[in-house]
Amino acid sequence: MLIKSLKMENFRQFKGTTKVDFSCDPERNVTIILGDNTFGKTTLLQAFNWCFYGKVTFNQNPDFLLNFEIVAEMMPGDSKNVEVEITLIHEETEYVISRLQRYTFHGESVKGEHYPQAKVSYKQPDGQMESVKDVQVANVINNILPEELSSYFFFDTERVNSISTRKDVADAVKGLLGLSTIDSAIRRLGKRSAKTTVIGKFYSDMDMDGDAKAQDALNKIQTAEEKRNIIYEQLDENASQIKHYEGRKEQLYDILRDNQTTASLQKKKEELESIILEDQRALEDTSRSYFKEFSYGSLAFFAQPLISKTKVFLKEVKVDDKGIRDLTKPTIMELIKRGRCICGNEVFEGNDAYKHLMEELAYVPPESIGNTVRHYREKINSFSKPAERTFESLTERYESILRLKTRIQERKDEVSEISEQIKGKENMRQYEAEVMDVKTRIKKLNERKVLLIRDDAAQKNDIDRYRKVYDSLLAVSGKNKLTMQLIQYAENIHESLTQAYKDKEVIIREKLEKKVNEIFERMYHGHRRVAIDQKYQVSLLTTVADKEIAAGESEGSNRVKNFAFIAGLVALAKEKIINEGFEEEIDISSEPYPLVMDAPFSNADETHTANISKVLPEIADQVIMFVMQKDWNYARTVMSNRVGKQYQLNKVSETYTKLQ
Amino acid sequence: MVFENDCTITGKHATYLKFLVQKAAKDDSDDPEKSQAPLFERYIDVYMNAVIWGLLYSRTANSDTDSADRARIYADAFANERDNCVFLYRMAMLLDETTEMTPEEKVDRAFRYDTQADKAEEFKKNMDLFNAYVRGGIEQMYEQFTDGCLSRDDYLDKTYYILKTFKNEIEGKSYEEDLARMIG
Repeated sequence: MLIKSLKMENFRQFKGTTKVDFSCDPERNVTIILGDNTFGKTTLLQAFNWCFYGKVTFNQNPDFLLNFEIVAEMMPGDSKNVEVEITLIHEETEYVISRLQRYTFHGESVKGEHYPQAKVSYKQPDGQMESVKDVQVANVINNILPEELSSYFFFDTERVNSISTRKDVADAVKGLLGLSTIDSAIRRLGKRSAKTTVIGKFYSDMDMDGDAKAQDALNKIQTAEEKRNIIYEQLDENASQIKHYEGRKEQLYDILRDNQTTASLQKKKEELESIILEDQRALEDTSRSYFKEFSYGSLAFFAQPLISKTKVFLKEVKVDDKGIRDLTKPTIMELIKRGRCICGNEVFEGNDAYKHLMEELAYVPPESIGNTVRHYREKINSFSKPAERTFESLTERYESILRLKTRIQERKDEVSEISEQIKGKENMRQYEAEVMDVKTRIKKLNERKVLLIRDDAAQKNDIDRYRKVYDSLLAVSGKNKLTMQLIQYAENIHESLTQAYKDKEVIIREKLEKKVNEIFERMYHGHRRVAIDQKYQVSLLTTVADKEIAAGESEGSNRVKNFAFIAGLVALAKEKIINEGFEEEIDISSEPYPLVMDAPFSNADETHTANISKVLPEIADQVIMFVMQKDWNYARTVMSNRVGKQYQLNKVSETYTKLQ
Repeated sequence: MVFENDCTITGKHATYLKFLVQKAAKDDSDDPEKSQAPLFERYIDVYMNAVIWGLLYSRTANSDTDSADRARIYADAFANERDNCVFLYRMAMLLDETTEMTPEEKVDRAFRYDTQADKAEEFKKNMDLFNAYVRGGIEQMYEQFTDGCLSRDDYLDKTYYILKTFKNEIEGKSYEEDLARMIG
């Protein structure tokens, strides 16, 4: 971009129409605008800014651009325009950029309309001017001179002083030198974790979840199939066991059928044995009873003949039995001793009562045995009485015992007979028990079979289900494969670009440093060196005892350093930088740019001013400087042969500057 | 008074008595203890039966001292069976034929001596006689009831046979008659 002209209409103190043509002659590429402080140098710089980007940074009334003298002349209802128009050459095409703001006396004051729009038109190859559509205006301006880079071509005094310490200088440098294309390409490619970048987008497009699911599904299918194999084995084993037990069951049925008689005989034998046992118990009881009764009853029984004999004896013998029954001699003797009878009569020796008692003594034992014998006779009768019953009872018991014995013997015979019949044949009960056991086993095996089949069906369902999942995910997987390839490509490009960028950046930084130092040497009249670090921070080094150390910076050396840096940037931009790391060369050569500077020589001494003035026109394609008269005096000697155009700002009033 | 003190049977009579009371019979079953049955429950049962058998067979015996075996019947046992023992004593005194006596003398002996202090000597002789019958009876019983018996069944049959035969004899029938009638 080279600036051909600047035309202003009522812009601040530039009342009326002010037009500046800038020299575009490569040999005399310097345009000088002379003017002392407050003459409007800064306003000129702001005019560029306003035209390009609609922004100004005045200290006073930054939003009001209309010339105050015009304002003063305006009547209510009047309208006046503020307009800046820049004609420039960019990529060999002539562009006209203009911005107009209408101010109207409305009510009691003059107010500017909001958002003044810029217009852009360009000259077609056939010479016809073509307007750029309103919506494209901002883009076109940005393509010509990005706003964020503009400040590096339009320097006010303050910014010249701070250029080498600004933090965003790295980005500015990159942009200026065309590295930003690669940088933005790298940024656009991005990385997997940055979702808005190309690679990040690809990556987020990938259905990683799906892949994991597919693998999971596959694992589940495999697991289920393994399970099914185990189930098959178990089913086989189960089936063979069922077969075995069914076979055994048939065998047992055959045995039991063949031995049905044996079984029933066995049963009968057991019944008989049970009865025998009962009978034996009854026999035992009866025997005990028999002996017990014999023990008690035998006396009376065997005494019977003797009883009869005694009866006969006592019948035949004469026994005196006149005595009072149970009355004994001691009883009578007791009555006599007491002296009174039971009837109440007194008893004493010689009286009637005494005599009666003494007579009675002859009939009582031991003198008389009548009572005792009579007693004995009665006992004889009672004594033998149980005998009859004893015999009958013992007979009954005895017969009962005999019957039991007979029965027991008969049954024992029967048992022996049965035993004989079933002798040698195995115990059917054992087989019956085995049949029950086998039946239980078969039942359990069949239940297990059902469970296994059910489990197998469940596994098969799982397999079908997961296969569907897997198949559907396989399609996703195909897409993923493609995306992955794209990511690979993108990442390779990213890597190549990054590498190229790094290589180029190093080269550029080295070149920049070299260039800046070349310029610095030409500008600075001492022995110092400029160093540019990775962040494009610029510092001055001085050599002390073969060692470079950071040197103290003065206002003057600082200014020179900054100019050298700016000049270096612009100079470098002009060169075509070739990186050999690429198969194909990437042309990042920059468009030429102007250098518009406000008061560049302030704080610089005579020598430096001269040096700067000599170097700047050589390194920049176009130099536009707003210079104070006193500074220009030093510069003019070295620069005048490069000056293509020169203007003088005349301050008519505080609110009116005229350009001549 | 009679039968108020312990009475000790000695020698073979003690052995026999014990045998008859002991779980006399052995069955052929596996558990001999269980299957044994006493022919007589108590010593005193044998004692009382013995005097009967002694009298029935007019058999008396002197005390045996050949062996040291002893069987003691305690006063307590006599206390329970005193009535029967006195009854049997009097019977023995009445029916004894070993001494020459008139029936009246036998009655006196049977009913008077045991209460008369002045007849203590005679009473002791009577008791000796009574016990001699007991000993004779024990011998008789032992021979009768245990002859040829080994098992409980043997004893069962033996006792019943004796009972039956005895019964028949009382009724004036003989075993042979029974058989004849059964065969006839």
